[in-house]
Amino acid sequence: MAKVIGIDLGTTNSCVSVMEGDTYKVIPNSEGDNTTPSVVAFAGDERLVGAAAKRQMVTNPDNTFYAVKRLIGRKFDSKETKHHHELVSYPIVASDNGDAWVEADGKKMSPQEISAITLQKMKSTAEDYLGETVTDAVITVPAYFNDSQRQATKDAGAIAGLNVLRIVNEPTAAALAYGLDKTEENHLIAVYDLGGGTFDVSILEIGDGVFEVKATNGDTFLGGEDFDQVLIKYLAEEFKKENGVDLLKDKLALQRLKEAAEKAKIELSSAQQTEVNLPFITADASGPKHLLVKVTRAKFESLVGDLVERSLAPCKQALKDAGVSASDIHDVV
Amino acid sequence: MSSKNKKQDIEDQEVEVVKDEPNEKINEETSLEDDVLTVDEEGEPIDPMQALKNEVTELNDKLLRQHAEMDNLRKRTAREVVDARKFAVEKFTVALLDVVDNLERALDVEEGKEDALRDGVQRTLDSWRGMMEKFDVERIDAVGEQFDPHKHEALSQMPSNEPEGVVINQHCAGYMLNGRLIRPAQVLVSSGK
Repeated sequence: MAKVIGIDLGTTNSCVSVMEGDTYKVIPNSEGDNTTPSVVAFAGDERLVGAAAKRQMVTNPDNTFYAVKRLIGRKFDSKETKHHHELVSYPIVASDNGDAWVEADGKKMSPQEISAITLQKMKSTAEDYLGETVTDAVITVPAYFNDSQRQATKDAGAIAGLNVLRIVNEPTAAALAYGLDKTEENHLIAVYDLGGGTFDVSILEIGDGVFEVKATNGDTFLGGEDFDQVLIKYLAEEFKKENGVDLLKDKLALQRLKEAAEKAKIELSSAQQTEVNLPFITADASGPKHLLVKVTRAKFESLVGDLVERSLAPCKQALKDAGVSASDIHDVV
Repeated sequence: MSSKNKKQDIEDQEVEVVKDEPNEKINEETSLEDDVLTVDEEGEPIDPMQALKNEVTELNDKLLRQHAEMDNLRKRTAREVVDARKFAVEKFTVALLDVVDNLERALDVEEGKEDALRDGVQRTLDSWRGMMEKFDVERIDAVGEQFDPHKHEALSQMPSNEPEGVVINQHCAGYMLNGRLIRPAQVLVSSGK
């Protein structure tokens, strides 16, 4: 009767939950957040996980590991590893059998060892909350993960001291969370998952509580952060038009802009328009300057049009691979 | 085979019904009951005493686990209540910090830039008002309204051109939180001509 935890080991953020009665409860970590950045850092003797690791990234770029999920179960000389290598600041090396590993303080480590540190944090988050030791866990992985990537994720769990009962496909978990398993007849559903850094789309067939992934597709380099980036650029351009100052070159201003853009994006999912108001954003010889830009949902939609367009190609491909047309899809999650 | 099992189940249930009959009967019927209960579903003989003992152990174990689970739940809930209280103002504080930051920035502005400074402070106040709305804090402005003790607090009364009972000046605005008054507007009320 020991509690089983469910862990979403994400590329950018991870999340842990537990069943309480017949509903699930997302467990907040010691900082009070429902999600924990999947970032691990080695700073001298200290090992940092989550928000603290993320915060010191700029000062410790060689030994701060993020998005290692993109390396898990991959070969060093694969196309994906090369692409990833260009985007991250930490060293990626080949293990003895050619897997993509990372190097921390001159020591080779597998991505599963790094992921295990994040998993350990999720495990202890759950233990603090439940007041008892937790060993059994279910971990989700993208539907496109192959056997070696699934095995590597299981290994990461084992290193973290977890008994991984099952590896569940992320779209399946999403469908379950929306209660879509409670259907008698066979249904086709599409799961559209735009995460922080990656985009996945899956076509599932559900019948009698059994899930079958018919097709999956995606873009591992398209995510919510790209949407923020587009908005940041727009705000900076508007400001430049009015004040002739480029905020993108000012690190402190850029940080404020980033936070404000993310907030505005979230607000625009419920409101028709929002206002980005950043007084004293910068200053020049004439005195302090203030940023005030109104963003309507329509404006935002036109700004991110290209990104949405980019997500459509994988959707079409997934439908094609599943051999179904858009009208066959019963539900979209 | 399965139909046989079903029959056996039904028989067992019937026996249980018999067991529920008044106590006096039990002695007479013990022998009959024993005959039926000594055979389990697979037709193997079982000791009814042992069966009951097993069941008691099982139930005790279950009860113990339930108690432990309840205990954990109680502790967890208590901790959540404490945390909810301790960190209730967290989101509000974070929102307030933006305002604090901007006021600090305002103080850093060099002399001679008063117009830009004033503009910045005004926008800081605007941003704060927007924030308050998001937290369901609603401002009450009373001037020109009929004095209403449910929303206003009268500081004094004085003659004016306004009819008696009309608010003629506001010392400070009032505020409601989620529809409940958290501070009345402090006002001056007209006593008429």
